[in-house]
Amino acid sequence: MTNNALLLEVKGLKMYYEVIGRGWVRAVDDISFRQFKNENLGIVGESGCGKSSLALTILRILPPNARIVDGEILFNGMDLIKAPESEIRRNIRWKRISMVFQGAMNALNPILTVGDQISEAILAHEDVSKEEAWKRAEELLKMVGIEPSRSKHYPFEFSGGMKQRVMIAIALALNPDLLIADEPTTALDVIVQAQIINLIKRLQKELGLSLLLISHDVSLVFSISDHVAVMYAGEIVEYGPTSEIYHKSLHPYTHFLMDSVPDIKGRIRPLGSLGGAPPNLLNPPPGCRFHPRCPYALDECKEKKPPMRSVSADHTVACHRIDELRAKWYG
Amino acid sequence: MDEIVVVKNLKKWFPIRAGLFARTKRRYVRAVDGVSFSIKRGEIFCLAGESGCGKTTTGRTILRLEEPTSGEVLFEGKNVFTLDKKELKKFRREAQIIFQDPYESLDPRMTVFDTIAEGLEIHKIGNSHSERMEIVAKALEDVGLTPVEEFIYRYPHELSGGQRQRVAIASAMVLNPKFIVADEPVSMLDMSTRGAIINLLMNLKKNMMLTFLFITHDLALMKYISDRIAIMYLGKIVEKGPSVELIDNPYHPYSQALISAVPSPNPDVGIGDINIKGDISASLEVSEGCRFAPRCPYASKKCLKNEPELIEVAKNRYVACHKV
Repeated sequence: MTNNALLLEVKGLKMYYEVIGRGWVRAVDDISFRQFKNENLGIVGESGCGKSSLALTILRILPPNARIVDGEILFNGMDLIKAPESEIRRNIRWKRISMVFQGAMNALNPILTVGDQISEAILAHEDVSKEEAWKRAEELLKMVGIEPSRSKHYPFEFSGGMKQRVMIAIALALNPDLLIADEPTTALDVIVQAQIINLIKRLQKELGLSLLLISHDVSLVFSISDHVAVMYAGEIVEYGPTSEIYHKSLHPYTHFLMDSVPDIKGRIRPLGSLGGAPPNLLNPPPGCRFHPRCPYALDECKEKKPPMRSVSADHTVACHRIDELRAKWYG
Repeated sequence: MDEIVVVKNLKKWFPIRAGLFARTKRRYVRAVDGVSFSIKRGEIFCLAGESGCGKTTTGRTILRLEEPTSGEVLFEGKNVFTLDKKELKKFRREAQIIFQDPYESLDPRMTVFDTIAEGLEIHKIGNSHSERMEIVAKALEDVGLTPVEEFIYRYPHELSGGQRQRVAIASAMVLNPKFIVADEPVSMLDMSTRGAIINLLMNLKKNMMLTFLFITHDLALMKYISDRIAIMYLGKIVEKGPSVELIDNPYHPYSQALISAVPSPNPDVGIGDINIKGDISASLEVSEGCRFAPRCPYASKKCLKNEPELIEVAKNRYVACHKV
């Protein structure tokens, strides 16, 4: 599907948080990736690796101490970093790019009915009558599998999974091109998670929506993404088609992830484990940021940052030892 | 293999607080409603299910952290609910629990040494400070918190999540227990720490001949490490059997839905379709018949009337369903 048109292209993006008196937390540090139209891109990484900061940067909803230091975010060819805030607010955020985040269901206003909250989103961006907006709210509820008659109910009358569906309805209210979902199902039980993911997959086909899924859950990300980007300590260490990364991961960190994740459909084997902890991004290690935990690190890895290198048409890896590791793992 | 823990028809009902002038009959949440199983010495037995299914309450009641509404739990042949003071203290030493949240389960004002030594003092293990210091140092070594002198006087806020969970494990292990209830011991931890903690628990199990009750929603992990699984739905066991067999070929419609909902990292497999309706709230009002019937695609009249018993349908495979 790589012959599809580009939807989102991030180039050399750097976003740092200032910590007064202590320096800069390099949460997003020289990140590049591409997302195609009608495709799912998954970004996977541990807590603190910068994956949520990346989402906030794309939507330009950063806290005051954050600085976009460098890079481009091209959305349908338009640079979102150079665009004025008024333009983003009017024409991009929610309208073209919307977002569902973890625990979003708790962001619903407890004293407004869900129908009011969905139509509010529509009225804020479009010049339609109240009746029209309400009618669309009911259609959206139906689309996410909730009886339209429940539009007059308040959030407390819904379960967690149902509230998350309402949030998806709000996110889809303006028919966006891109839905950024940051841990959309992490607080939910596994059956509800599967229902929501299957719902997103169905809507995607119906509406021509692209999904940027951000999660720590390797199985979830790999199960629904067309492309995957693996993040470690503020950087993307490997990017490529999901199936290629699953079968032939080349970065030692990705390789470890594939080795340590139990697969419910897989054969029983010992699970891999990794020593140490991810670095502090105020003062990340020099060279490759993974080198202190990497079983294959050489002197070179401690000194020189590995560049992103193409290993096949659409698969890039940042590691000095790709060639040796490929021979070792895949013959 | 003998059975170290036998649970017989265990029930734990929590009363729902009614208003001051409520005239209605007292109502209960039947968190655990007639659960029976036994755990063989040296095995890893897993209670699995969604949040609210009663798995944690079952684990806590087995350890007598909750008093049961009815039923029995035998630990090495003795009913834990009728132990005298001396026997209870011995039980409290031999059966330990590891909690889900290492950020909550440690006292923030106690150093690693104090936390681990507290149990030693209560159970009068080690006579002097130096003897206890030796035991604590050995325990820290066993859980991989080395060099010991770097960790022993730290406070919880000076430790990472994985290190805190190691301290919690050390304070359980230092009492030389026979049986551990591990309630979601790794679900708060990051991926790269998770494997290390699981491997640590498995090594300790081997070296100390421990028996484990794992309480978790992570079925993929349980397929890899547990011997037998019991799947709970609203206070009842709906299916029980050897882990790999059960997960590869579940019989109960609820287990089937639960297992097919778990995503596979293999993109060729992905997430299965879910053929059950609604959520757990659909089952809360069920007073007779199978609790799962309102959501079950196969339910018949019989299912709405008679509650199915957990019966052996194939060798070692137990299922509570009329339609098997």
